[in-house]
Amino acid sequence: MNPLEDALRRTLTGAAGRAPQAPVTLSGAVEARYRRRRNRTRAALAAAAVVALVGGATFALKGGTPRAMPATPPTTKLPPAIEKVWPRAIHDLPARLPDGRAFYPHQLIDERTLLVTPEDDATRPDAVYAYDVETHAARKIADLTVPKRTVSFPSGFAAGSGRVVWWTALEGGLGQIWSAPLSGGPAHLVASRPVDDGGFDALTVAGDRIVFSLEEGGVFTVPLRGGTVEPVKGGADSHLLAWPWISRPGRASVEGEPMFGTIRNVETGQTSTALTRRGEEMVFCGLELCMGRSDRGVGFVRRRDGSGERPDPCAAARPTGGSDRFCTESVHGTGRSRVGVVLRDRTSGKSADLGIRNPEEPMPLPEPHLMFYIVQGRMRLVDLTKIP
Amino acid sequence: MDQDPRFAEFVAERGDALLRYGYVLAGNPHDAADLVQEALVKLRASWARVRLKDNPESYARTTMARLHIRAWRLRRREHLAWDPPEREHHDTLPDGDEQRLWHALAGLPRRQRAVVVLRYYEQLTDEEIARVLGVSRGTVRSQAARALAKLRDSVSTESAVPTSRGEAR
Repeated sequence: MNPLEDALRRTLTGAAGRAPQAPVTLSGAVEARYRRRRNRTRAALAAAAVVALVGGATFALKGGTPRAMPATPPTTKLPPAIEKVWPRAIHDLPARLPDGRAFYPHQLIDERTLLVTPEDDATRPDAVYAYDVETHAARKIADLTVPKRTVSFPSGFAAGSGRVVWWTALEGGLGQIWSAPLSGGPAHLVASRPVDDGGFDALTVAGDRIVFSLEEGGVFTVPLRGGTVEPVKGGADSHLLAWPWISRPGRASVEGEPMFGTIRNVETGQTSTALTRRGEEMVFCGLELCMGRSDRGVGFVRRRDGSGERPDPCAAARPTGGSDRFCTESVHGTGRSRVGVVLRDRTSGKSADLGIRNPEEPMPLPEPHLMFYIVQGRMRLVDLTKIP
Repeated sequence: MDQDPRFAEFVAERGDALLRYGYVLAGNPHDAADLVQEALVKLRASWARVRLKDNPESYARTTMARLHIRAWRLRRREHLAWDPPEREHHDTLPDGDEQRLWHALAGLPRRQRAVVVLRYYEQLTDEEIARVLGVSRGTVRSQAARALAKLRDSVSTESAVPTSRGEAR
């Protein structure tokens, strides 16, 4: 081993010592999840029965899942319910499509049309749908073509200019970008491009072009209806943050340098470099805000120019690359038991109770525009763009 | 099938080790917990077969590595049943080179990081890594070379780690 490899071995072994310990409830949590998933699979196999016998199916779905309902009221004070705090942002939807399948929401195309793919933990998406959040009707936009030797299944769904786009990747590292008309119709291959094994890390529609960046770095565009892939000028080694803003090195920053600290508008040439202070760690910037830990380990949030710095209300939340404005955080009662989950707005300082009481319910993660979660068998969709 | 008490024993005995492995694979406690949980659910589903024919821990570790490199998991991080405590506080981070390397690892594409972890944490040979990840040995070698080059570049400016370019294998 050479010295770098020796250092790597030491680094990884040392890091492993900082890993959290498994909770004593792990086995039970795994068992509950396994049973829930098994029951879901059985329910999916009996899709017709699910539709015909809703009551019975609901019973069956719940039957094998030990649901820990809150036996006692939360001892920790939760903020007001999200319906009260941000009533215009919330949509209450059935957790399943009309055909009985679970689904994943990707993007609100307009006020009431949600781009969704039917999928759950065990299955990959086979089609993309337009879902009406008012009537709860689903309209198939396109079947998802998955060529042989595909190793990265349809991901990165985005809509714009009357099209929906997504990507896949073949074994050996050939990334493929697909497109279909939002009005419905077959998907077609827009472009193929060698990609590193991470594939694409951003994909969006900007006017008549698709803009994307690769996990290994590099921002490119291709005409929406197909054509030649062209590198964005000055976009080598860069990553798309939010069109037209790109960043180098983006998420792959070196130590002490914030992720997306320096961003550039490729249409105007304007650049923005976030203020940083010596000793700060884990700094992540979005278009507006930066957050991280000070040299004393205290979480902060401030604008990119350094103004408005204050303690980060989300400092205890798990870091995500999704939204710089919003975070979700568990509220714990006595001991480590979770009594609720709150959505926090770093801009206004407001918080809302999401109504999640089942400690096994997954933590929702705010993406830049959207967040969703399940409460008592219903999907709650939060349109973050409707939060003033 | 009712729960086999041996599965619960396995989780109790090996949960921490799997979480350590998940942490070096994923780089943060949340994704580590996600990986462990997902792998254990899969192991639970195959428990009877795996316990008889395979090594459950090896099965879980292989599952975790494969889950980690599947790009479609990028959107799956919300499926977490417990909140691991954030333990990576300022005072527990190592100084100097190890911290720089740990940070540089975060900049690697997932498959490159997986190869590095399997080589230098799990101490697997390239052939074993190829089997775990379901890729060719040549791919493992090229991924490892690219990862090492990136890490070398990342740490070379400030680091005291000598950055000789000697080929290890």
